[in-house]
Amino acid sequence: MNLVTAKGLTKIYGKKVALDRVDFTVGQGRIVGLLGPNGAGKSTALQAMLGLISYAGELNVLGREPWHQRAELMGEACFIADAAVLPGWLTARRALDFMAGLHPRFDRAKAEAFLARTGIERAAKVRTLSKGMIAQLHLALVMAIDARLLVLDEPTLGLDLAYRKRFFDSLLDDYFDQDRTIVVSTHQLDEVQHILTDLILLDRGKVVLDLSMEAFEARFAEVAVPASKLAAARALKPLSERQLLGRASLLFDGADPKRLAALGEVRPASLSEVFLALTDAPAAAPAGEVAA
Amino acid sequence: MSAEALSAPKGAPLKAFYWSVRRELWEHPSIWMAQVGAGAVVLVGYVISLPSLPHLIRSGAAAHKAGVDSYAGMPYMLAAAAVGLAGWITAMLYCAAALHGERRDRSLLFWKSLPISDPVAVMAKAALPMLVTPVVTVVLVLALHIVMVLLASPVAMLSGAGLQAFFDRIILPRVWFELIRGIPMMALWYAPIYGWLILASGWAKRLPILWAVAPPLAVALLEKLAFNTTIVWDWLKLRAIGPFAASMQKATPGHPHPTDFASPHLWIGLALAAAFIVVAVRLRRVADPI
Repeated sequence: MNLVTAKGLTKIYGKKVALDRVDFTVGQGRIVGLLGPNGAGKSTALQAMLGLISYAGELNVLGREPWHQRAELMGEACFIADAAVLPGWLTARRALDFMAGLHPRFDRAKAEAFLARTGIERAAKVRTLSKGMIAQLHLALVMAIDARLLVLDEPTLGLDLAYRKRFFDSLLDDYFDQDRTIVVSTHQLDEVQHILTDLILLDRGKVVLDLSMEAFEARFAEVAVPASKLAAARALKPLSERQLLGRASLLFDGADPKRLAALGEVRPASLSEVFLALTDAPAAAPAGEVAA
Repeated sequence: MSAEALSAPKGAPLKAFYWSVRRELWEHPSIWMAQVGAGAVVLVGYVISLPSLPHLIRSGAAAHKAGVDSYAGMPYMLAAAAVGLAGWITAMLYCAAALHGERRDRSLLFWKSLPISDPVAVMAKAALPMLVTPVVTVVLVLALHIVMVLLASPVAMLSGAGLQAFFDRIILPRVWFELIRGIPMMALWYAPIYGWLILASGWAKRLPILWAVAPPLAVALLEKLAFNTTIVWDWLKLRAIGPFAASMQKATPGHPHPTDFASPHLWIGLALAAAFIVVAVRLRRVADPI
């Protein structure tokens, strides 16, 4: 079942086309990474999904049209925009009171239990907390909501490594299950690679790649090629080529695994390598080769 | 969809409204603290003045016979005026920040991630000057008057001026009647100004007060220069100081005070307030953090 369906989703700011007739779906129980360079349209897509901005085209989220039904949608969906959007005057206790009073799907005990592990004082105001602590508090509030869809827009932006790791670990261990669905945009590609089930790669308002991680791993491979076999390897049209520890490392899309194995040591492709090959360096990846 | 999901939204807008008002009170405690502060100043001043109370009661009794209102009652009217004025000023400052603060500190993205619709969010903000401030003013002034009476009664009694003479002079029932009638009327009269300030706070990227004040003044100035008339200026003046001007003059039959229900000015103002709030709701719907 698809929780999110976008057809021809378009958003234009003045003369800039932020989203250009984008199609994608998000299935129930998936963890979808919405990735892309700055200005690719990630935040625009997420904000459209949550009814925060208007858009052209068709968009259905949890059976609703977000722009006209934001409040209803937010009863069943949660959103964490980049790390610090909790107001500075809010205390942890008041945040809990507020959510418990307002949100029909908020489980206070759950939030209290999560908060107890963070060491955040109930009376502490958000403005006195570190960015990492604020992210923990926000996560505690959101994880206690029995939401069908959780949307995270750069949730770990500006956090140090330890907090980033904790954030995603908590998300997986304490929150995610078969009924939950998460859509996350982030620049920390290698940190989310192992938690994603699907990925959508955006570049300049268009979908460049949209596939499951199984399909990703089957399609992309990196091969460490010795100099003697470099010409043969290049004949297979790699997406990109870089020097790694004195050896050439070539990234392939959809090449025959047996032929790759003959060229050198084959490793699963990293998300960041594919990301760079498909978006940041268009010269290395002509459009014709990108299309699956 | 589960049955739970279908039944959840029942009463949800009311709940959202209630918690949104509480949120505003948490975020802007000045909305009641300024009035408590004004009340405290009045109380301190009154305590200091208490030794002269017996004299005021006696001279007041003489003055009353001559048809002059007593000074013994003056602090009670001053208390109401000070608390009311503090409430009026903080209400206006609050309105000018209402839709601005949450955009500036980016918390808009948090509030919008909750099941609170934009109309409910804006109505909750409008409820502070229209509902909370009047209630706080009336309750606080009544409480203040009671404390003042409790402090003054022993002085009046022990000094021999007499409790009955004291109560005769401070005319509390009349002050209270004016308070309970006047404070809600004032909120209704200023509704368009509150609404306009909320609208400006949702529109302006910086200095919402300037955006609220400058355009009407510019129009008035333009009118004066272009046509040498002051229709806009007179109208602005009426909206700004209407109730105070009205309290200075007695109403005559057929010519109601502009702030009376019988006056079209009040109703025009309320219609304008409603229009401003509708625009403010639309502004919040498309608002981005700044």
